[in-house]
Amino acid sequence: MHPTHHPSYEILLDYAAGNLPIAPSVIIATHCSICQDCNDTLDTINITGAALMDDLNDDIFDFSSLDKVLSKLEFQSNENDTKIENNNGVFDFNIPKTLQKYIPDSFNWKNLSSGVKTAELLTDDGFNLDIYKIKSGYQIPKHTHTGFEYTMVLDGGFTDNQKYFARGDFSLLDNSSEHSPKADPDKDCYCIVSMNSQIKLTGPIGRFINLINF
Amino acid sequence: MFFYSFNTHTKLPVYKCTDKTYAPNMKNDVLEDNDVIQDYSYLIDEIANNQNKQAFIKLFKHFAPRIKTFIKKTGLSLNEAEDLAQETMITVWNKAKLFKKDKSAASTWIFAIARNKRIDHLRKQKHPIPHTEDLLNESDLNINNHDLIIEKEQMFTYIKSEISKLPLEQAIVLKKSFFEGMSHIQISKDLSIPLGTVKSRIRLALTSIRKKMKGLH
Repeated sequence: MHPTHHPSYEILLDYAAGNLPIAPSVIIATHCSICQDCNDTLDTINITGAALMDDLNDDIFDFSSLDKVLSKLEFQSNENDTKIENNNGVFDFNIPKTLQKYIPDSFNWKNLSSGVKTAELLTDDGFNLDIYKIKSGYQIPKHTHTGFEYTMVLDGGFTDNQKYFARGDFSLLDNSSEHSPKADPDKDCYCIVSMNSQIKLTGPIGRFINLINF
Repeated sequence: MFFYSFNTHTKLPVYKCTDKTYAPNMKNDVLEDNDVIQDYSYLIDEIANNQNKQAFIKLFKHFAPRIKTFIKKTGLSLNEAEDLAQETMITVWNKAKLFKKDKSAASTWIFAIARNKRIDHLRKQKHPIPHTEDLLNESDLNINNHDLIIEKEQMFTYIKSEISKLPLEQAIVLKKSFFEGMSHIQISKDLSIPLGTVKSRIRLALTSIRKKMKGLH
Protein backbone atom coordinates (compact mmCIF):
# COMPACT_ATOMS: atom_id res chain seq x y z
CA MET A 1 0.00 0.00 0.00
CA HIS A 2 1.34 3.43 -0.92
CA PRO A 3 1.06 6.17 1.68
CA THR A 4 -1.39 8.89 0.63
CA HIS A 5 -0.52 11.58 3.18
CA HIS A 6 3.03 12.93 2.82
CA PRO A 7 5.30 15.48 4.45
CA SER A 8 5.42 18.73 2.45
CA TYR A 9 8.48 19.73 0.41
CA GLU A 10 9.52 22.32 2.99
CA ILE A 11 9.47 19.72 5.78
CA LEU A 12 11.51 17.31 3.64
CA LEU A 13 13.99 20.12 2.95
CA ASP A 14 14.21 21.04 6.66
CA TYR A 15 14.89 17.39 7.44
CA ALA A 16 17.42 16.80 4.66
CA ALA A 17 19.37 19.97 5.40
CA GLY A 18 19.51 19.07 9.08
CA ASN A 19 17.23 21.88 10.24
CA LEU A 20 14.64 19.70 11.93
CA PRO A 21 15.18 18.32 15.47
CA ILE A 22 16.03 14.65 15.72
CA ALA A 23 12.66 13.34 16.98
CA PRO A 24 10.59 14.59 14.02
CA SER A 25 13.56 13.71 11.77
CA VAL A 26 13.17 10.07 12.77
CA ILE A 27 9.53 10.22 11.64
CA ILE A 28 10.44 11.82 8.30
CA ALA A 29 13.25 9.30 7.71
CA THR A 30 10.91 6.42 8.53
CA HIS A 31 8.22 7.74 6.19
CA CYS A 32 10.76 8.22 3.39
CA SER A 33 12.08 4.72 3.98
CA ILE A 34 8.72 3.24 2.95
CA CYS A 35 7.45 5.92 0.57
CA GLN A 36 9.03 5.83 -2.89
CA ASP A 37 7.66 9.23 -3.83
CA CYS A 38 9.16 11.06 -0.85
CA ASN A 39 12.37 9.05 -1.23
CA ASP A 40 12.61 10.44 -4.78
CA THR A 41 12.03 13.95 -3.47
CA LEU A 42 14.84 13.40 -0.96
CA ASP A 43 17.11 12.37 -3.84
CA THR A 44 16.23 15.62 -5.56
CA ILE A 45 17.00 17.60 -2.40
CA ASN A 46 20.32 15.81 -1.90
CA ILE A 47 21.37 16.40 -5.49
CA THR A 48 20.45 20.06 -5.07
CA GLY A 49 22.55 20.35 -1.91
CA ALA A 50 25.45 18.58 -3.59
CA ALA A 51 25.23 20.82 -6.66
CA LEU A 52 25.23 23.96 -4.52
CA MET A 53 28.19 22.63 -2.52
CA ASP A 54 30.05 21.83 -5.73
CA ASP A 55 30.13 25.56 -6.53
CA LEU A 56 31.81 26.41 -3.23
CA ASN A 57 35.45 26.08 -4.13
CA ASP A 58 37.94 27.45 -1.66
CA ASP A 59 40.98 28.95 -3.36
CA ILE A 60 42.94 29.30 -0.16
CA PHE A 61 42.55 25.70 0.96
CA ASP A 62 45.66 24.44 2.71
CA PHE A 63 46.50 21.08 1.18
CA SER A 64 49.11 20.29 3.84
CA SER A 65 46.24 18.56 5.67
CA LEU A 66 46.24 15.94 2.93
CA ASP A 67 49.35 14.24 4.37
CA LYS A 68 47.73 14.07 7.77
CA VAL A 69 44.61 12.49 6.28
CA LEU A 70 46.62 10.04 4.17
CA SER A 71 48.42 8.86 7.30
CA LYS A 72 45.06 8.04 8.87
CA LEU A 73 43.80 5.85 6.02
CA GLU A 74 43.72 2.23 7.00
CA PHE A 75 43.38 -0.90 4.98
CA GLN A 76 39.70 -1.78 4.66
CA SER A 77 38.83 -5.42 4.92
CA ASN A 78 35.84 -6.96 3.21
CA GLU A 79 33.84 -7.30 6.39
CA ASN A 80 30.28 -6.17 6.18
CA ASP A 81 28.87 -3.60 8.53
CA THR A 82 27.17 -4.96 11.59
CA LYS A 83 23.52 -5.70 11.05
CA ILE A 84 20.89 -3.84 12.99
CA GLU A 85 19.18 -6.02 15.58
CA ASN A 86 15.67 -6.95 14.71
CA ASN A 87 13.29 -5.77 17.40
CA ASN A 88 10.20 -7.10 15.76
CA GLY A 89 9.67 -9.42 18.72
CA VAL A 90 7.97 -6.62 20.62
CA PHE A 91 5.37 -6.10 17.88
CA ASP A 92 3.41 -8.36 15.61
CA PHE A 93 3.88 -6.08 12.59
CA ASN A 94 6.88 -5.03 10.59
CA ILE A 95 8.91 -2.17 12.09
CA PRO A 96 10.85 -0.35 9.36
CA LYS A 97 14.63 -0.81 9.81
CA THR A 98 15.04 2.96 9.87
CA LEU A 99 13.06 3.04 13.10
CA GLN A 100 14.33 -0.17 14.70
CA LYS A 101 17.37 1.27 16.41
CA TYR A 102 15.17 3.68 18.37
CA ILE A 103 12.95 0.89 19.72
CA PRO A 104 14.14 -0.45 23.08
CA ASP A 105 14.20 -4.19 23.81
CA SER A 106 11.55 -3.95 26.47
CA PHE A 107 8.64 -1.64 26.71
CA ASN A 108 7.20 0.31 29.58
CA TRP A 109 3.81 1.28 28.29
CA LYS A 110 2.24 4.17 30.12
CA ASN A 111 -1.55 4.34 30.16
CA LEU A 112 -2.60 7.73 28.88
CA SER A 113 -6.28 6.88 29.03
CA SER A 114 -8.42 3.76 28.84
CA GLY A 115 -7.76 3.45 25.09
CA VAL A 116 -4.27 4.94 24.64
CA LYS A 117 -0.88 3.67 25.75
CA THR A 118 2.41 5.42 25.02
CA ALA A 119 6.11 4.69 25.41
CA GLU A 120 8.87 7.26 25.01
CA LEU A 121 11.59 6.50 22.45
CA LEU A 122 13.70 9.63 22.75
CA THR A 123 13.64 13.27 23.64
CA ASP A 124 15.93 16.01 22.35
CA ASP A 125 15.84 19.68 21.48
CA GLY A 126 12.35 20.20 22.90
CA PHE A 127 10.78 17.41 20.89
CA ASN A 128 10.00 13.95 22.17
CA LEU A 129 9.37 10.82 20.12
CA ASP A 130 6.79 8.38 21.43
CA ILE A 131 5.08 5.29 20.16
CA TYR A 132 1.31 5.33 20.62
CA LYS A 133 -1.03 2.38 20.77
CA ILE A 134 -4.66 3.28 20.26
CA LYS A 135 -7.14 0.53 21.06
CA SER A 136 -9.33 -0.62 18.19
CA GLY A 137 -12.42 1.55 17.88
CA TYR A 138 -11.20 4.06 20.48
CA GLN A 139 -11.63 7.76 19.73
CA ILE A 140 -9.18 10.17 21.35
CA PRO A 141 -11.12 13.10 22.89
CA LYS A 142 -11.11 16.33 20.89
CA HIS A 143 -7.93 18.31 21.54
CA THR A 144 -5.42 20.83 20.22
CA HIS A 145 -1.69 21.23 20.83
CA THR A 146 0.37 24.10 22.06
CA GLY A 147 2.97 23.41 19.35
CA PHE A 148 3.59 20.90 16.57
CA GLU A 149 2.55 17.26 16.33
CA TYR A 150 4.23 14.97 13.77
CA THR A 151 2.61 11.55 13.32
CA MET A 152 3.19 8.48 11.18
CA VAL A 153 1.06 5.34 11.24
CA LEU A 154 3.02 2.11 11.78
CA ASP A 155 0.14 -0.35 11.82
CA GLY A 156 -3.63 -0.24 11.63
CA GLY A 157 -5.24 3.05 10.80
CA PHE A 158 -7.31 5.95 12.09
CA THR A 159 -9.82 8.45 10.82
CA ASP A 160 -9.34 12.10 11.70
CA ASN A 161 -11.23 15.16 10.43
CA GLN A 162 -12.78 12.95 7.74
CA LYS A 163 -9.41 11.82 6.42
CA TYR A 164 -8.17 8.25 6.66
CA PHE A 165 -4.59 7.46 7.73
CA ALA A 166 -3.07 4.02 7.14
CA ARG A 167 0.43 2.52 7.43
CA GLY A 168 3.06 5.01 6.31
CA ASP A 169 0.72 7.99 6.29
CA PHE A 170 2.11 11.20 7.71
CA SER A 171 0.40 14.10 9.42
CA LEU A 172 1.66 17.41 10.78
CA LEU A 173 -0.59 19.52 12.95
CA ASP A 174 0.04 22.87 14.60
CA ASN A 175 -1.73 24.76 17.35
CA SER A 176 -4.49 25.84 14.99
CA SER A 177 -5.74 22.31 14.41
CA GLU A 178 -8.33 20.65 16.59
CA HIS A 179 -8.76 16.93 16.15
CA SER A 180 -10.12 13.69 17.51
CA PRO A 181 -8.60 10.66 15.77
CA LYS A 182 -10.52 7.38 15.90
CA ALA A 183 -8.80 4.01 15.48
CA ASP A 184 -10.13 1.36 13.07
CA PRO A 185 -12.91 -0.71 14.68
CA ASP A 186 -11.20 -4.06 14.08
CA LYS A 187 -7.53 -3.38 14.79
CA ASP A 188 -5.29 -1.58 17.28
CA CYS A 189 -3.48 1.36 15.75
CA TYR A 190 0.23 2.00 16.34
CA CYS A 191 1.79 5.38 15.51
CA ILE A 192 5.04 7.21 16.09
CA VAL A 193 4.36 10.71 17.33
CA SER A 194 6.68 13.65 17.93
CA MET A 195 5.50 16.72 19.80
CA ASN A 196 7.08 19.82 21.27
CA SER A 197 3.91 20.67 23.05
CA GLN A 198 1.18 19.61 25.41
CA ILE A 199 -2.17 18.24 24.50
CA LYS A 200 -5.07 20.52 25.37
CA LEU A 201 -8.43 18.79 25.52
CA THR A 202 -11.12 20.99 24.00
CA GLY A 203 -14.39 19.06 24.24
CA PRO A 204 -16.87 19.84 27.08
CA ILE A 205 -15.74 16.87 29.20
CA GLY A 206 -12.14 17.33 28.07
CA ARG A 207 -11.97 20.83 29.45
CA PHE A 208 -12.99 19.41 32.81
CA ILE A 209 -10.30 16.70 32.60
CA ASN A 210 -7.72 19.43 31.77
CA LEU A 211 -8.49 21.00 35.12
CA ILE A 212 -7.80 17.77 36.97
CA ASN A 213 -4.74 16.63 35.02
CA PHE A 214 -2.74 19.73 34.23
CA MET B 1 19.35 1.64 -24.95
CA PHE B 2 17.85 4.25 -22.68
CA PHE B 3 21.35 5.32 -21.90
CA TYR B 4 21.86 6.44 -25.44
CA SER B 5 18.48 8.09 -25.70
CA PHE B 6 19.65 10.49 -23.02
CA ASN B 7 22.58 11.48 -25.15
CA THR B 8 20.62 12.14 -28.27
CA HIS B 9 17.62 13.91 -26.78
CA THR B 10 19.37 16.03 -24.23
CA LYS B 11 21.96 18.60 -25.01
CA LEU B 12 24.68 17.83 -22.55
CA PRO B 13 26.55 20.94 -21.54
CA VAL B 14 30.23 20.84 -22.40
CA TYR B 15 32.56 20.79 -19.42
CA LYS B 16 36.18 21.71 -19.32
CA CYS B 17 38.27 19.14 -17.61
CA THR B 18 41.97 19.04 -17.30
CA ASP B 19 42.40 15.44 -16.27
CA LYS B 20 41.43 12.45 -18.35
CA THR B 21 43.31 9.84 -16.40
CA TYR B 22 40.41 8.78 -14.24
CA ALA B 23 37.64 8.95 -16.76
CA PRO B 24 38.02 5.71 -18.68
CA ASN B 25 34.35 4.84 -18.19
CA MET B 26 33.05 7.73 -20.18
CA LYS B 27 31.85 6.85 -23.64
CA ASN B 28 33.70 8.80 -26.29
CA ASP B 29 30.57 9.40 -28.31
CA VAL B 30 29.02 11.23 -25.38
CA LEU B 31 31.47 14.05 -25.41
CA GLU B 32 33.79 15.78 -27.70
CA ASP B 33 37.31 14.46 -27.61
CA ASN B 34 38.86 17.10 -25.41
CA ASP B 35 36.04 17.39 -22.93
CA VAL B 36 35.73 14.69 -20.37
CA ILE B 37 33.63 14.89 -17.26
CA GLN B 38 35.67 13.84 -14.27
CA ASP B 39 34.24 10.51 -13.23
CA TYR B 40 34.35 10.72 -9.47
CA SER B 41 32.35 7.49 -9.13
CA TYR B 42 35.22 5.68 -10.76
CA LEU B 43 37.60 7.13 -8.18
CA ILE B 44 35.43 5.83 -5.33
CA ASP B 45 35.30 2.40 -6.97
CA GLU B 46 39.10 2.48 -7.20
CA ILE B 47 39.25 3.04 -3.43
CA ALA B 48 36.69 0.31 -2.77
CA ASN B 49 38.35 -2.28 -4.98
CA ASN B 50 42.04 -1.39 -4.96
CA GLN B 51 42.60 0.85 -1.95
CA ASN B 52 43.95 3.31 -4.49
CA LYS B 53 45.49 6.29 -2.68
CA GLN B 54 46.03 8.24 -5.90
CA ALA B 55 42.31 8.05 -6.54
CA PHE B 56 41.73 9.29 -2.99
CA ILE B 57 44.08 12.24 -3.50
CA LYS B 58 42.14 13.30 -6.59
CA LEU B 59 38.87 13.10 -4.69
CA PHE B 60 40.37 14.99 -1.76
CA LYS B 61 41.61 17.80 -3.98
CA HIS B 62 38.18 18.32 -5.47
CA PHE B 63 35.96 17.76 -2.47
CA ALA B 64 37.88 18.74 0.69
CA PRO B 65 37.94 22.50 -0.10
CA ARG B 66 34.25 22.45 -1.01
CA ILE B 67 33.24 20.57 2.14
CA LYS B 68 35.28 22.94 4.26
CA THR B 69 33.64 26.00 2.69
CA PHE B 70 30.21 24.39 3.04
CA ILE B 71 30.69 23.66 6.73
CA LYS B 72 32.28 27.04 7.43
CA LYS B 73 29.27 28.73 5.82
CA THR B 74 26.90 26.91 8.14
CA GLY B 75 28.39 28.84 11.02
CA LEU B 76 31.05 26.53 12.40
CA SER B 77 34.59 27.73 13.04
CA LEU B 78 37.45 27.41 10.58
CA ASN B 79 39.00 24.64 12.68
CA GLU B 80 35.76 22.71 12.96
CA ALA B 81 35.22 23.05 9.19
CA GLU B 82 38.75 21.80 8.51
CA ASP B 83 38.33 18.85 10.91
CA LEU B 84 34.94 17.85 9.55
CA ALA B 85 36.21 18.08 5.96
CA GLN B 86 39.04 15.71 6.89
CA GLU B 87 36.68 13.39 8.75
CA THR B 88 34.31 13.35 5.78
CA MET B 89 37.12 12.34 3.44
CA ILE B 90 38.31 9.61 5.81
CA THR B 91 34.73 8.30 5.89
CA VAL B 92 34.72 8.32 2.08
CA TRP B 93 37.77 6.05 2.23
CA ASN B 94 36.30 3.79 4.91
CA LYS B 95 32.84 3.48 3.38
CA ALA B 96 33.82 3.41 -0.29
CA LYS B 97 32.47 -0.13 -0.58
CA LEU B 98 29.00 1.08 0.39
CA PHE B 99 28.89 3.60 -2.47
CA LYS B 100 26.50 2.53 -5.24
CA LYS B 101 27.05 4.37 -8.46
CA ASP B 102 23.71 3.24 -9.83
CA LYS B 103 22.03 5.04 -6.92
CA SER B 104 23.78 8.37 -6.77
CA ALA B 105 26.56 10.49 -8.14
CA ALA B 106 29.78 10.68 -6.13
CA SER B 107 29.14 14.36 -5.35
CA THR B 108 25.70 13.60 -3.91
CA TRP B 109 27.03 10.74 -1.80
CA ILE B 110 29.93 12.79 -0.44
CA PHE B 111 27.68 15.80 0.20
CA ALA B 112 25.38 13.56 2.28
CA ILE B 113 28.33 12.33 4.34
CA ALA B 114 29.52 15.92 4.92
CA ARG B 115 26.03 17.05 5.88
CA ASN B 116 25.66 14.14 8.32
CA LYS B 117 29.05 14.98 9.87
CA ARG B 118 27.90 18.56 10.39
CA ILE B 119 24.58 17.52 11.92
CA ASP B 120 26.16 14.82 14.12
CA HIS B 121 28.72 17.36 15.30
CA LEU B 122 25.92 19.65 16.48
CA ARG B 123 23.71 16.96 18.01
CA LYS B 124 24.06 14.24 20.56
CA GLN B 125 22.50 11.65 18.30
CA LYS B 126 23.11 10.61 14.72
CA HIS B 127 21.00 11.99 11.89
CA PRO B 128 18.38 9.37 10.99
CA ILE B 129 18.60 8.26 7.36
CA PRO B 130 16.05 6.11 5.50
CA HIS B 131 17.28 2.53 5.41
CA THR B 132 17.48 1.26 1.86
CA GLU B 133 16.16 -2.18 2.78
CA ASP B 134 12.82 -0.72 3.87
CA LEU B 135 11.74 0.29 0.38
CA LEU B 136 12.60 -3.16 -0.92
CA ASN B 137 10.52 -4.70 1.87
CA GLU B 138 7.42 -2.79 0.80
CA SER B 139 6.77 -5.48 -1.73
CA ASP B 140 4.31 -3.78 -4.04
CA LEU B 141 6.50 -0.78 -4.70
CA ASN B 142 7.75 -0.63 -8.22
CA ILE B 143 11.49 -0.37 -7.78
CA ASN B 144 12.09 -1.01 -11.48
CA ASN B 145 11.41 2.63 -12.26
CA HIS B 146 14.63 3.42 -10.54
CA ASP B 147 16.96 1.07 -12.28
CA LEU B 148 20.08 2.52 -13.78
CA ILE B 149 18.93 4.20 -16.94
CA ILE B 150 21.42 6.97 -17.29
CA GLU B 151 24.67 7.27 -15.48
CA LYS B 152 24.26 9.24 -12.28
CA GLU B 153 27.43 11.23 -12.85
CA GLN B 154 26.07 12.57 -16.12
CA MET B 155 22.74 13.28 -14.54
CA PHE B 156 24.43 15.20 -11.71
CA THR B 157 26.39 17.36 -14.15
CA TYR B 158 23.25 18.11 -16.12
CA ILE B 159 21.09 18.81 -13.03
CA LYS B 160 23.80 21.04 -11.60
CA SER B 161 23.69 23.23 -14.70
CA GLU B 162 19.89 23.38 -14.41
CA ILE B 163 20.07 24.34 -10.73
CA SER B 164 22.35 27.24 -11.61
CA LYS B 165 19.49 28.56 -13.77
CA LEU B 166 16.96 28.66 -10.92
CA PRO B 167 15.45 32.10 -10.22
CA LEU B 168 17.54 33.93 -7.63
CA GLU B 169 14.68 34.14 -5.11
CA GLN B 170 14.39 30.32 -5.13
CA ALA B 171 18.15 29.77 -4.97
CA ILE B 172 18.42 32.09 -1.95
CA VAL B 173 15.88 30.05 0.00
CA LEU B 174 17.69 26.78 -0.81
CA LYS B 175 21.07 28.24 0.15
CA LYS B 176 19.73 29.52 3.46
CA SER B 177 18.43 26.05 4.17
CA PHE B 178 21.60 24.15 3.24
CA PHE B 179 24.28 26.67 4.23
CA GLU B 180 22.79 28.76 7.01
CA GLY B 181 21.02 26.04 8.94
CA MET B 182 17.64 27.77 8.75
CA SER B 183 14.30 25.97 8.78
CA HIS B 184 11.67 27.29 6.37
CA ILE B 185 10.05 29.11 9.31
CA GLN B 186 13.35 30.82 10.18
CA ILE B 187 13.90 31.74 6.52
CA SER B 188 10.51 33.44 6.47
CA LYS B 189 11.51 35.56 9.48
CA ASP B 190 15.02 36.21 8.17
CA LEU B 191 13.83 37.46 4.78
CA SER B 192 10.70 39.10 6.25
CA ILE B 193 8.51 37.33 3.73
CA PRO B 194 5.31 35.35 4.42
CA LEU B 195 5.66 31.68 5.27
CA GLY B 196 3.49 30.81 2.25
CA THR B 197 6.00 32.55 -0.05
CA VAL B 198 8.90 30.52 1.35
CA LYS B 199 6.92 27.31 0.93
CA SER B 200 5.97 28.08 -2.65
CA ARG B 201 9.56 29.00 -3.56
CA ILE B 202 10.78 25.67 -2.16
CA ARG B 203 8.02 23.80 -3.95
CA LEU B 204 8.66 25.56 -7.29
CA ALA B 205 12.42 24.96 -7.10
CA LEU B 206 12.18 21.28 -6.16
CA THR B 207 9.35 20.54 -8.59
CA SER B 208 11.29 22.00 -11.50
CA ILE B 209 14.49 20.12 -10.57
CA ARG B 210 12.52 16.89 -10.14
CA LYS B 211 10.87 17.38 -13.50
CA LYS B 212 14.29 17.75 -15.10
CA MET B 213 15.45 14.55 -13.39
CA LYS B 214 12.37 12.66 -14.50
CA GLY B 215 12.84 13.94 -18.03
CA LEU B 216 16.09 12.01 -18.09
CA HIS B 217 14.48 8.68 -17.28
